[in-house]
Amino acid sequence: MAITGVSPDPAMTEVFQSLPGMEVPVGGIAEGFAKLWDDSSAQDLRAVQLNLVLHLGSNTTPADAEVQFQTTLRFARRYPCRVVVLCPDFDESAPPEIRAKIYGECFFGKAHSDTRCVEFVFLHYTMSVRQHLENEVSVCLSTDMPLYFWAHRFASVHRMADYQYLLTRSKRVLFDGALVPAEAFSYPWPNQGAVRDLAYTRTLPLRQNLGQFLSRYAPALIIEGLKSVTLRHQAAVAAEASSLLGWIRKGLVRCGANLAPITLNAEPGLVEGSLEIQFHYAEQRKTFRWQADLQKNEAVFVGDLGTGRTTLTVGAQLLSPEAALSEAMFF
Amino acid sequence: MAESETHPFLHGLSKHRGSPPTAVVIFGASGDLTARKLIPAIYNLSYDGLLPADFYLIGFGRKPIPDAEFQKMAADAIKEFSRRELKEDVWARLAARTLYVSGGYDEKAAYDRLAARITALDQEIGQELQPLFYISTPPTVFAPIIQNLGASGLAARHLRQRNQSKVIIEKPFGRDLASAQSLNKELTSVFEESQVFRIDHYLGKETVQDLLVQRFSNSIFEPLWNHHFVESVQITVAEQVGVEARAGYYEQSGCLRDMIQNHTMQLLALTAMEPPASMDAESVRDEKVKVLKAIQPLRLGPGGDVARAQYSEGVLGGKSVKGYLQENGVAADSSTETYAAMRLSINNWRWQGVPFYLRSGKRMARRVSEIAVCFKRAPGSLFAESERFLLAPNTLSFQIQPDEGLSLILNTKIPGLETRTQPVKMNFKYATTFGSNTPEAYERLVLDAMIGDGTLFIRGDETERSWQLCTPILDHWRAQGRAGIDSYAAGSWGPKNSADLLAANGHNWREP
Repeated sequence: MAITGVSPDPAMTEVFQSLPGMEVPVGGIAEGFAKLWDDSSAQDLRAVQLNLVLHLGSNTTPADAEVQFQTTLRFARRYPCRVVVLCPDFDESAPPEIRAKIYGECFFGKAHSDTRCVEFVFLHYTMSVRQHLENEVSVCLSTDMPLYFWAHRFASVHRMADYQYLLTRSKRVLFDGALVPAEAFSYPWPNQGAVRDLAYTRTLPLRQNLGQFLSRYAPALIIEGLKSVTLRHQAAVAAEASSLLGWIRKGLVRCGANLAPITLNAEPGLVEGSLEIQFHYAEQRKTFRWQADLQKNEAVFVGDLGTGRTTLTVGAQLLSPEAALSEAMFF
Repeated sequence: MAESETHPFLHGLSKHRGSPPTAVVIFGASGDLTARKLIPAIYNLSYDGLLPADFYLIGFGRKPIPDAEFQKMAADAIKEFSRRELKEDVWARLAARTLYVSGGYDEKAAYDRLAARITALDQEIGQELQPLFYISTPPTVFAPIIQNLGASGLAARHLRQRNQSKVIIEKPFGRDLASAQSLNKELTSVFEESQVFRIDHYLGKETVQDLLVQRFSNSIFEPLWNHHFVESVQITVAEQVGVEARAGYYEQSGCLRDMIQNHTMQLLALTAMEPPASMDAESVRDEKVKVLKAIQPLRLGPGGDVARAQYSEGVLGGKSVKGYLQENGVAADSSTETYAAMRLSINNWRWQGVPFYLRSGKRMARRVSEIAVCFKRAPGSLFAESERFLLAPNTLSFQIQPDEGLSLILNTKIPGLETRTQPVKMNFKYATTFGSNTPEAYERLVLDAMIGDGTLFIRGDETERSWQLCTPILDHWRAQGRAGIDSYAAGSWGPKNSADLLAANGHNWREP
């Protein structure tokens, strides 16, 4: 690989430089880690449970990269892993270059054996080396362990071919519906069943709440006379709202509903941090409303499907980013 | 019961996220177990969002305690014993649904009050709660509690429906075969077996659950898991603590009842059982019972299969400690064993001729619970010269606590020009790979009972079979008085009579 002085995409260069770690020659990553752990008691405690490739897409800023880095660190406290962060320079005309940085950190728990470590390899590369990139990545991975691919921000499908090796081998491919095109799920992923939307995953506690509450009613009762479903949300949780609405749609179908006459709408909410779902019925006395205040981590149900009015306050919050990562990866 | 899949709006959620609305009623609400384990477990389930939206915690005890005081007791217990700190918003929601009902365990009217309170909650929330009774009391009041749950109609609520009443019962499940049968009879006169969850917290430990995964998902182990390759199996449940303030209880119980009959027998069953047809509760428990039934009756008396002992004065952790007979509350002529060991033979195709050694004791050198599968030595004389070749039998050990994990002893060449060998240990530590802040056994077990999954609970016939093995030993020891009781220094690995059990086969106890 020719390493030349080039002027790559300044934005991604800035991202690469802002990330922590020690710059090493691309061929010296293993030696770099050996030196990093030299004389460290952590050496015999480094269990690698999985590999995570984090691809930083276009529009990733240094601050955004730092947030994803911190999320991955918190995730690694529970699941020690090898993380390869890809920082591509999207300038097609830039000459070939790959730069590497390494970073390691250990977390100490209650006992000597409760020490978990994470190793990061950051690779900054220009588009002209992309056909070699996956080989470089493969030698950074602990290849006996499962591989996960996290595509953080992307704007289109057209670079997917560059990552076939990784996407094909990944047990799960993750993206955040809030940060990618709406049609991302319909891209030709090599293994469609492995694709997970972090925005949907974050709504797990809300779906659990809603599911448990709605399960008190017979399916027929839920759909009988249902005219519309309205979901009100703030812009900040638009992706989560959209995935919740999709989940409700599927739930209604499973209840036996013919969706043709039922309208499902997402509307802007007025109150900051609020998320609200309302079922409207032909019969005036039938009602179902769920109103969450995500700032207070609380939601209130009001339901009466002809079985008496019930009001219930429950805890309601989105999964934290690191919990969403593990949920999307393992479950 | 995977019924969380049945409602369309629970589709796709794991069964643990689909518990029906539940009221957990704890009998023995002011007890030590409640404070140390149960309330922290319920709090942590709430913290993780795993409790149903409609959840109530009801303490039941003799002492009249206002709801607010019980809530404060619960908060204090969480602060002191929970693996996580008390988070105000999580606790506030749980506290608002934490209630207390006072009454005597044999007072029928108290159960009627409890039933009325649950019915009032049903009406308040507009649906019928699943009552989950947790009997965390001394065994002397098991019977009146069970009878009154029956008489008040609480036991039969929603019978054979998903939200049917359930009862978790803490050990001891009897003192011998007769009392175990009597307890089972009592339970089944009021509850159906599917409603009963006999808890042994060992089964909730991740490493114990992992035993089945290790055995049946790794193709390298199962082909070796038989008399062709296994020389012996050792199961150790060693404690460092003495009887401390529990002398009154321990004098009536002893090591065989306290540890061997339940924890070690469960570990044995999981180690030796055949692969179940599926991982459902009945398939797993059927296989456990089958292997317990294949254990041969034990030979008692001199040269037999059992050993017992009491700890004597010794040094532990650099400090002198008293012998058992010098402990407060222990009779000077006590014949209660603080250590028990046995050699078992399992009469089936898999284990014919493989001795299973079980031991448990107090005031031993180290607190450790492990299962060690010792394999036969490699055949041939290639490395027979003992001066040059130090070889150990391959041993696969599952460490249950502390430092949960798995290790394998292999023989390897010492680097150098000459071929010399020595054993080395390959280690997998749970905490290093997964961290140690994993859910506690009680969290998993309470949640499993809530969703009606009995896989990690003990069925009535399992306890009876285990007592069938242990009761003749207890009878024999009772008849012997103090005759045949060996002693071991506190801080040691056990008595000579226990070592003799293994020496007869050319084996030694491990010192893990």
